[in-house]
Amino acid sequence: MEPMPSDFLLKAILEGRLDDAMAYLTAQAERDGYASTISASLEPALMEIGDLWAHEKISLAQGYVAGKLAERILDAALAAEDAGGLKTGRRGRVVLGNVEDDYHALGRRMVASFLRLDGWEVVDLGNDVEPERFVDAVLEAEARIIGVSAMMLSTAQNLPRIRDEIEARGLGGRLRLAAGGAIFRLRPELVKELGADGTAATAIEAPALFRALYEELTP
Amino acid sequence: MAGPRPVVVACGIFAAELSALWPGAFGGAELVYLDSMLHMRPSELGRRLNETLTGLGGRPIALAYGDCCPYMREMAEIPERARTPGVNCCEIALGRARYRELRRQGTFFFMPEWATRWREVFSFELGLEDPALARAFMQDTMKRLAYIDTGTKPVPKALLDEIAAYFELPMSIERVGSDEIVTAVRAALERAAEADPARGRADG
Repeated sequence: MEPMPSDFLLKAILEGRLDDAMAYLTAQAERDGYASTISASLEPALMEIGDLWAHEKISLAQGYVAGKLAERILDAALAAEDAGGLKTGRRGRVVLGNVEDDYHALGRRMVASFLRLDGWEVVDLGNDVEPERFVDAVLEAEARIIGVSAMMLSTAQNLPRIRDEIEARGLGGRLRLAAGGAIFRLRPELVKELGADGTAATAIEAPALFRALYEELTP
Repeated sequence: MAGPRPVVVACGIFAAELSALWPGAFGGAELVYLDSMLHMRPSELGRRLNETLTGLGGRPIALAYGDCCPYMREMAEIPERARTPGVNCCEIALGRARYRELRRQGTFFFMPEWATRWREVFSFELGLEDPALARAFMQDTMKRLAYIDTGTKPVPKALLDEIAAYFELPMSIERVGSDEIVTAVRAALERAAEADPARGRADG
């Protein structure tokens, strides 16, 4: 049976009480360890938040609190002695960035937090990233997945240039291109149309997408 | 033969700027506004825009909007319609080069109409009711604030000081006037009228 999110934790996130949520998880981690706390308490709460987000039932503020909580608890876990099982990078490296002309950092940063929590090492290139930089960075990091965020169609239309750059360097079979952002949630047909290999409806679902894309590369 | 009367369907964020020059600067076109707060709900904005555009039939239509809803491209692709270029109202008002420069510096913009509604935007629309959370959110993703002074009303200095103090971020004023907005709307009207089948027959 899947673990259920704690009512207290979920309520604290939804009410924007980040410090209370953090204190709750920290107390649990002191008793049970971070790895157990994250899998038994944080992840079920985040799944619930992700479901609410996908159905547009929570605000940007509530999503932000969930992302910050994941970021803070991961930082605390990595600083703690029992963090062995949570070490980032155990799944591999990924490169993230907002597509050229896009400056909406929040979603990308939430994705970075949830990927790190899932064990990925994230190379975050920031906003307004040109296609060449994405591909240079993925080669430099020896990563296999590029995650690109775009909020609107006009910026998402820069995605095919990243695909073109990947193909021009003969890397099509070795890399996967994940696309995220509001426009892909509202118009999922654009994912293939613009040359991406997959998308996730919410930042919380990004780790599952990245795992699936990685598995395609390592049969 | 004169064609049907053109229409500008505009985001309410431009109401002061366009109304100040209406109707002389726009050749007698009709002006229709939708609430700027619809920007926060893109799907609803799309529905409302679609209803409005459908109700206007085949008249030449200039859309004074950024890329603010999922199907904006398709809505503006119909021959007798044209949209102001730019990803959002701030780019339309500032021009592409200045907009990009400021965005790269981590600037969050306040158009005049939204400055007066800033608490509605942050507390109600974004859910950032707690000042500490609102501050953390803004400081996490932005480095500075800028008020876009379109010259149609006095700069609300006390209000801008209040916003800057609330977020603990520096506020600057971009004095751009309304030229970029007016030029973009006029150009969109011209493109819409040129593509209008009735006008095309009359001119052809």
